[in-house]
Amino acid sequence: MGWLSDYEPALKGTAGDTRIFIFNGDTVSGGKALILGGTHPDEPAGFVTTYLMIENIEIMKGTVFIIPQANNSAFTHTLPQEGMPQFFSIPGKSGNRIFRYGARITNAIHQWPDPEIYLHYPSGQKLAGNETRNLNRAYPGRTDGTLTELIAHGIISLINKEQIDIAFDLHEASPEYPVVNAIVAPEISQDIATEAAMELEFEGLRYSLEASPYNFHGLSHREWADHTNCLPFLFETANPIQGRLRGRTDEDLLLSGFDKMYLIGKEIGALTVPYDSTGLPIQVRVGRHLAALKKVIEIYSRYYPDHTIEFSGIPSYQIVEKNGLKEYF
Amino acid sequence: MRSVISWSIFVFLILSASLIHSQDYMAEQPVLITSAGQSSDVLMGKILAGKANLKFIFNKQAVSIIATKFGFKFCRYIFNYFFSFEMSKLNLHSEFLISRIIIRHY
Repeated sequence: MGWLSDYEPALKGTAGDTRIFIFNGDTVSGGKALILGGTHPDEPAGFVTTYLMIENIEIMKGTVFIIPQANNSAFTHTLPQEGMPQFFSIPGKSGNRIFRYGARITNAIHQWPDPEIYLHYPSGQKLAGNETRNLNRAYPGRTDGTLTELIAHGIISLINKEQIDIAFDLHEASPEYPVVNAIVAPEISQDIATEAAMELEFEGLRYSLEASPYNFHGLSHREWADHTNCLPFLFETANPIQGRLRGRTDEDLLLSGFDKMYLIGKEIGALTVPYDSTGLPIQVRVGRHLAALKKVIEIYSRYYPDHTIEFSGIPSYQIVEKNGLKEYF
Repeated sequence: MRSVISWSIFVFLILSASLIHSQDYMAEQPVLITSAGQSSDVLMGKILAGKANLKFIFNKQAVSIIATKFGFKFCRYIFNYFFSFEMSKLNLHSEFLISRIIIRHY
């Protein structure tokens, strides 16, 4: 295990420092993958997926780096006036596993004040002031910047120093958002993303392909492509607790993904994903992330046989959807 | 598969003039793969063409260049003569009938 401060020393002792779990197989001939969860701690399928991998992966070839709480500070609060739960639990083999539910942005206690307008470094792109605390608007970051920029710089440094071949950023978004059930990839990753989306479709899992915008800076997939040599990918699943149509906002909604208002939303065409009375439970969302991860790594290994990454112990989408997450925690 | 690419317009431009009069929509190579929109799904056409060992040119902006020069009516006329190719060559399970997609969108 390592720490992000190993790659960005200015993070040491701050709320932005975070653990890195490292799994080594046959490193002589294998490739290197980085998997981020918790870039946005109010998108739980992302970091639950990474914890499931940490606790179950058996690596045979290559190296896998996993950061389950990429923005550690953002796990320490929830957004005001949204009524979000602070915690949620998933039944496990040895009892309930409790996870912290956080916010999209760094805690203001750790980074304050926000500017009126956030000027992204180095592009100068203008965004709303509080986006200065959004890790997924902060890349590539800088070593003398804000806490969020330090975290971004640490991740960029990790990718460069460890010569990461392929990197993933796991997210969720509301079901009415256009970019959900999606694989987002910059130009350099698009062939692999495309093949993965097709093969997943043949297996019954539909993902839309989204291209990284050329001129929207600060995003992980955009800036990893421009500032490192890795192949970046970002996955999105649909999560009703993040949506504007939701009603009671509690742990049950977070886990079941069911809200009757979203049924109405589906009827009137407001949603961009399939939705019915089964909701969008967390095992479905985690299962989608796992399926996409495994497929992209499989295809990457096919494209680059000298940098193969092989692992086992990670369940298929079908098994997770059917049996839930209990067996894996 | 078709619904995944429902927003995409795949265009395989036929470089042989004789094809315009063909009844079975067979095409000669190379083909041009392009898209009138911003969807990334045109990349599926590129990947499949590569797997089928087709000779192709991939240029996402080509259709806009053609439309700018000759107008959209010309593009529509051309699209009616595009072809489908056999997925059996690719050893894949799904039909991928380019011409149907084009016809649906135009």
